[in-house]
Amino acid sequence: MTELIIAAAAVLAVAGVGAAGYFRRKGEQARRRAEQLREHADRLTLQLVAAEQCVGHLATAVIPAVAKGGPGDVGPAGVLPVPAQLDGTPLAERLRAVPGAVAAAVEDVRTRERAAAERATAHAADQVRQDTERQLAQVRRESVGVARAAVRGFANNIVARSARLGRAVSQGVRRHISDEAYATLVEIDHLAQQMLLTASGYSVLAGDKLSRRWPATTLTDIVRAAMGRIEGYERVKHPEMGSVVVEGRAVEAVVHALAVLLDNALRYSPPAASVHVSLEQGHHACFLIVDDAGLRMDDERLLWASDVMSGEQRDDITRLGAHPQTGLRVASLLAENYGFRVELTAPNIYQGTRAMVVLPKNLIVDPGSAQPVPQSVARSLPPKPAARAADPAAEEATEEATAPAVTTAPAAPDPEPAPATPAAVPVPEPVGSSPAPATAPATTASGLTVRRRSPAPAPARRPAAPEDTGPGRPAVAAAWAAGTRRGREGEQPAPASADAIRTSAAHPAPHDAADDEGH
Amino acid sequence: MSGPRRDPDMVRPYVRTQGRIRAREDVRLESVVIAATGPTDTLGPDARRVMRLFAGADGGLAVADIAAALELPPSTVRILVSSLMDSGHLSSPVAAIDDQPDFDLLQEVLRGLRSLV
Repeated sequence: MTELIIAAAAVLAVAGVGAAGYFRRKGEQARRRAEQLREHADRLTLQLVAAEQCVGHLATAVIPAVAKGGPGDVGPAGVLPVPAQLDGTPLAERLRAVPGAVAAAVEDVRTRERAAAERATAHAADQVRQDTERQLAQVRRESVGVARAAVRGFANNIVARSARLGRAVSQGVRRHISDEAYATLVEIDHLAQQMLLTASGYSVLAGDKLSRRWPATTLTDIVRAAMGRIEGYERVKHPEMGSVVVEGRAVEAVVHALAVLLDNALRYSPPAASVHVSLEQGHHACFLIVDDAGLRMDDERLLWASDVMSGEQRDDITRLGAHPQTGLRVASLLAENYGFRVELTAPNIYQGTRAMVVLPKNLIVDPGSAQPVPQSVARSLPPKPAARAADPAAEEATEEATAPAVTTAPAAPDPEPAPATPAAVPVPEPVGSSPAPATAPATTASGLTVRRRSPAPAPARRPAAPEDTGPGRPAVAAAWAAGTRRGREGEQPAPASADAIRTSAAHPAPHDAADDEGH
Repeated sequence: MSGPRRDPDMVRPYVRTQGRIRAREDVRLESVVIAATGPTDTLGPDARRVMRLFAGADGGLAVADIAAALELPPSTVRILVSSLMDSGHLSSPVAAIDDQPDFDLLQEVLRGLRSLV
């Protein structure tokens, strides 16, 4: 039993020792763990302190520095001295990233601010610019208006005066028959016509219409009217173009445009070369062509000219430049206003430049309604009645009636013409009574002119009676010639060529001649 | 614009005469001229108009008459006629007078004849 007890006691002792060892080990373990925990807590406390310091530094030094610094300063300011205690912790990484993030945020805000400021500035500048432009435009408008008005006033004045001068010359050359007076008047006239061309060009540029009006006119006379307004017109060669008649309202415009083109052609061709005018009749238009043998217009200038013609370069009167080239601009304006076209091409058959006035059919009228100026005594017979029967012609006729009235007017004031009576009577008399050619030239001459013009042609100029007077006039002349011869009595003039005519006119007397023509 | 009247000369006189401003001395307003036959194609428009006046007339025309018929200034017509005479289209029947004995001589002869009768 005792053994049992001893054995039990030994087992218990062994168990007790074992338990003691176990507990001692366990206690050791717990102590070590507590040690570890304290160390960890200490480390964390240190780290916390360090983090506090670091964040303080960040807040007081680094961020203001980054915020203050320019966009380029992110580098040095971004280096945040992280305490050694925090090395290797995620916090350290985060803290290190802060300055960069702040710098980026600051930069971003700055950029946005800058953009906003720029936008505001641009807006303000825009407003200022718009205001300035508006004001500039207004000033410009005003100055163009002023310039236009000045040019218009000036040009119109010159146009009116030189037109009046032209009329005065027209009367003058009818009134004065002396060679000297005629030569002087014609010279004055040529200058006045050129002035008229220039001045009415400026008046058109300044926005006015042409002031002079003409009846429907043949192209022949339009070309010749244009020739009268330029220097060197003797070099212009043109065929007869009586078959085409331009409507009255477009006549002055076509004359002006053509004068400009002819002037250009003459100016740019050698002094001895001719300028050729020709006519081409198309289906829808008539083409009046001006060819010069001068220098071919170069491409640049042709381009400029076509721009002018198309209206692109036809800027206003204040933009003509220091050496204004008004001619083509005026031609282009006129063409647009009056419904025709002007074209320039080069080279032409003479290696020069070709200018063309394209007259659409609506500007062309029936030849019957041409100018009142009698085409011829013999020729006017057949077409005239037809023309008068036609309705549109009647309209022209009334216009014609005014035109010739003008023609007669200058003659009227002359003292001699009024008393003159029947045509046939006074005519043979002066020559008959003084058969020698030694009649007092001045008085007789003027007397004769006037006497012949007033009685006989008076009806002739009325559109009503061209047929009657046509044949009559040569008859009167024949009577005069016969009377002259009879006065010389029995003289047998030698020239054979004139003989036949003379005898027939002298003996069977004026009546025969008149009858012949009456048919 | 400045006046109701229209200029009668749309074609100016110097253009009509192709720049010539002097007539021949012997072409006066009262001179009678006669037409020669011949082509007139080469003539200018006004010269042709002058020639057409003769087309129907079987005799001479005075320069003043031509001026009146064509409603042209007399001096212009004198020049036109001068040019036509230079080119041979017109001639002056009176020109023969230059070759003829003068008036006094003729009167002497007449008186002589009468005394004979």
